[in-house]
Amino acid sequence: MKKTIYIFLISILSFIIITILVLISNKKESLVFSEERNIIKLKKTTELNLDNKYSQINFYKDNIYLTSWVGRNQGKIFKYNINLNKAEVIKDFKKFVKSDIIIGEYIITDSLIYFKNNSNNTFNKFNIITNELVFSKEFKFMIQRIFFVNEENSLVTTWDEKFTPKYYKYNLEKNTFKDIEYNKNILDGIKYPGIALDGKFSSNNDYIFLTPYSKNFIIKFDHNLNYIDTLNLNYSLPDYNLLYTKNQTAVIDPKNISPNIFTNVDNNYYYVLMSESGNKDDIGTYYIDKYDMNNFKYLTSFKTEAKSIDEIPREFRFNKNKLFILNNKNITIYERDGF
Amino acid sequence: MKEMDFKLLTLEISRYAILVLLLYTGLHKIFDINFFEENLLKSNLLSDYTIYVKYPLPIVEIIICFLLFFDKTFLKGLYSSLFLLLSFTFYLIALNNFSFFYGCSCGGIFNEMDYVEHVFINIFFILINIISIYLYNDKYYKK
Repeated sequence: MKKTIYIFLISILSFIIITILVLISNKKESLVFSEERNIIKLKKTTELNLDNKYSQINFYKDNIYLTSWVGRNQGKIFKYNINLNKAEVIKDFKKFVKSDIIIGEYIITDSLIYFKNNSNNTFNKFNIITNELVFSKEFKFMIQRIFFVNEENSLVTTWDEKFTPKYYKYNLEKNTFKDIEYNKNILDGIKYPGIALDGKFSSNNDYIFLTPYSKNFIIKFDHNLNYIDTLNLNYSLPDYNLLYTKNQTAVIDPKNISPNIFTNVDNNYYYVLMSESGNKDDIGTYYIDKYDMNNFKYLTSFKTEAKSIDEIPREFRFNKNKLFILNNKNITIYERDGF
Repeated sequence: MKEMDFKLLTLEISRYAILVLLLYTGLHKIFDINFFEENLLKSNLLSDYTIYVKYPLPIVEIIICFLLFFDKTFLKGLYSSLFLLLSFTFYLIALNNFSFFYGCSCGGIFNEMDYVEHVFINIFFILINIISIYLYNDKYYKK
């Protein structure tokens, strides 16, 4: 009996200690959306099953292309076969690249595939017709993101040792970099701006947009890769922070809020996939917010609920009159219906 | 007599299983203290208290190993290890519901496990810990 009481008391005590820890530690500041969201409903038409986790959904000539960062699927480009309801490998670059391969950004044309290999910091050109790797150019320094315009001009991002963001015009043929000047005032009040402003590229006919994962504004460039200005998203955020171990290893503060997950843009509207909680891996509510490209006013939102990790929306694309949302287990397709 | 031998054998196997577990995780934290500190900083629940956990936790694990090792303090060791295992399991469950980083700082092979596997391993050790407490009898260790 005495033992049972002790075990019971120990269980209660450990539970109380962790509960107190949860209560005093759960101080994550929240994201504050500036106005009430105007939610619209879209009709779900179908789901395309996925046998694995895929990333980087792209459309080329109405076909869905994907890559994967998981296990044996790394280093491959997939095309979704709607008839067979599965993603099929169209190119396995492991046969052509001697090092490890993790495909970052990639661009598909009729005869070429360009891709960044995050594993060895290279940009690669592959000829689909001759089935050969034309070149593999190693960047002179670690780069974070690349927006490919053409072989003479691409926009690349990185940061220096003081975490100041650097933007370059990159000439792929010559492997040269030219600094892009930008208004440094946009960095005011941002701790570690190089990391805080790391994000996703999207573009329309007029501009290229860099949407940071962890800030509430967008950086705008033209197609000649000149910095233009910034555009404000419709919410406020707490400061971004890093923590340091005793031997000065930087660790991202778990209390940071990084709500922007993925973006798309056309000539009239800008769309951003956001997590309501501010964390892209939380089970809960996600929105695709739509802004007017003329005045950058918030217009409307599509809301989706993730009830499990596998249902969390990771990316989205529009093709014709459909909205495609990628999660870990499928591509869910909705009627765009004016959205 | 046979029943007593069986109970004693079960108790001794459990004793050393828990001891090896705590010794392994405690030493791993000490030998890779920077990795342990990084994990604590990434934790939503412990990042503010890293300094208070970084050294005390592995030391407590090693102290419990000593308690388990000596017959005189064996029962106290079992109660202490039960407290630690339960606390860590509640911590894992709480953390998994607060952030994607599920927060295992045990070190070694335990860092390779996913959340569910880790919780099941913990529950297994909690069960053998509780069974050991019930099986423990002073007379086994009287000289």
